[in-house]
Amino acid sequence: MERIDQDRRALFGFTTGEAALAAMGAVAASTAFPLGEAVAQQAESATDIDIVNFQLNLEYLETDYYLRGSMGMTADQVLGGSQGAPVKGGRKVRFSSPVREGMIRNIAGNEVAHVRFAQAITGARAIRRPPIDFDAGFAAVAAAAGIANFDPFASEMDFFLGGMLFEDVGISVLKGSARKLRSLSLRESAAGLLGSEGYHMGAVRSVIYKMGEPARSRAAAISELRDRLDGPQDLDQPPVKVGNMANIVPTNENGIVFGRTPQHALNIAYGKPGKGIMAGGFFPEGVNGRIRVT
Amino acid sequence: MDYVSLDPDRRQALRMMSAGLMGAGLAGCADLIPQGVGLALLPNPLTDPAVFNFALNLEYLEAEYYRRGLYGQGLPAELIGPAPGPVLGGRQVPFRTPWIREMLAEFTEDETAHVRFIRQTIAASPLIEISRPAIDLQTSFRLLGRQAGLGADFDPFRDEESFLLGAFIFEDVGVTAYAGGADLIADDDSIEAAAGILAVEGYHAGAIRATIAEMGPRMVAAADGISRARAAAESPNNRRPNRSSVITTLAKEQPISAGELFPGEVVIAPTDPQGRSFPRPPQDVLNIVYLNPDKNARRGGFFPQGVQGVVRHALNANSSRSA
Repeated sequence: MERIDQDRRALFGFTTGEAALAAMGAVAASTAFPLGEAVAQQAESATDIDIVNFQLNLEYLETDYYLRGSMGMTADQVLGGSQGAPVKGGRKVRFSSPVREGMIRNIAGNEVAHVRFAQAITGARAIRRPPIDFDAGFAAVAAAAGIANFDPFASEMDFFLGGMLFEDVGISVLKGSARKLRSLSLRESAAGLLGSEGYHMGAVRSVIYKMGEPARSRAAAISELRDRLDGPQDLDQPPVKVGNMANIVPTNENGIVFGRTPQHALNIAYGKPGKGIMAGGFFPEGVNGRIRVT
Repeated sequence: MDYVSLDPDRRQALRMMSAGLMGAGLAGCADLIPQGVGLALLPNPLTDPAVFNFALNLEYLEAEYYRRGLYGQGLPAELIGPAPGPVLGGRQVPFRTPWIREMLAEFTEDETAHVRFIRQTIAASPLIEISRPAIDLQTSFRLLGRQAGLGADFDPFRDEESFLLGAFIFEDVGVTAYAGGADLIADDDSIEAAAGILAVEGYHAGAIRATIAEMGPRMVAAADGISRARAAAESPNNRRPNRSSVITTLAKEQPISAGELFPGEVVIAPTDPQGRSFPRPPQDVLNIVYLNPDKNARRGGFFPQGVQGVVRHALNANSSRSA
């Protein structure tokens, strides 16, 4: 709990303006000493840690989501010991078949591994789990997207939709972060994480598409909401029929997935568009780490 | 290098010259340095297009497979280069299930877009984009059918189930090939593009696995046989202990039925214990698409004349580094 409190102090003592100034200072420092290897390396490794820690927030969210839904268990039970702040909401879902339940269990296992791995990379600097609220987060999504009776833990269809809500976003952030990672081994690991999250969403979105209506329309509403929250660019596509084709994979004209910044992802997780948002939606007190404000 | 001011012919000549020099240098090294020593193909902006050319071979294979299955015809002439190899086999699949056909039609467009995009990316570099290599979609599948226990008459174009199994063969390999290339790429735009394509291959592969899993135990058993055949074709050095003990020596494979953490898992995402999809070094990718575990194999399976590209031998030698 001590580390969370430190994080909270840092959060509330660090305004957006200060954060921007600090970021500008870091950029200025690295350009002022173009040949200072040690200075540059320090700045770069800090950046890598920040990126992994940001991703860890999303992994915490996904882990408890999939674990609660498919196993009726919490991350604290599976990982052994408290991973941080409490998680509100979520329970075992009644799936229509052992295969669908087994798919989600596979995803849950991967997410547990992602949390462990991100914690191992960041070591002593690993963030703790921020407070997570599934009840408030999904209620906000349902209201903002206009989806009637949206309750991911009460229906298999909505559970697949809830998974899509989070993980398409995680993929686009990993894609957008690829160029920012300085460590080559970390780039390879990030590629591996991107691959596995891609698998998850391919499975989940193909099942949503297979379900037909109303799953497709609900997915379209979620996609539309994400697009509204994350700024003016069109970075989202739902798994609906387009012409004679499905749209399982959200891609641009080059057949490449969209990239998002961490700030885009925070707008979606916090449920509010625009700059300077620090908390809301699934993260009632904001995420942990140095990347936390839109 | 800036070729903007040169006329197209001169530009082409220069590109061919530099590509030839680079190829001679790297391939020459590979011949001199025995495999196992590990030639360092250090990432730099000049080797990026060579890595993309390697990937382009796989994209050609996937695009030709999907296009023939969905439309009954292959890539258009403008995408296969001036000296394309022939494609053996492949025909329109009699799909019964509309949503499956619609999904695979989308994947067909993605793979076609990848061919186009990678060709454009390489064309903007000093290297020449490869023409389509010779591709075998007929005898290759019969050989794989024997290796995977699907029968010597395995024909992925027979029906939609068979076509999904054929797609399963390629998509998992595509993900691992891009993951294995991540630390070979230097340029920031290139790494982001490769990451974006990797994710798409992941979506495809996850969707294919989920679709196969929902078709029942017989389809899962067939896919698991393919996983085992792929594992048998790659480097023994990559083998890892498998906690499931269902299959003990799989390397960079996790069959659909081989969940490792929770009861009843259906493996829609094959991963290592860290939850990462596996990175395959180019040599292992080649062994799989050549359907031949021999580390000196230069052709066979889906590429009867081998893959194209000036650094394929250098990539081969380099693979020992990542193993």
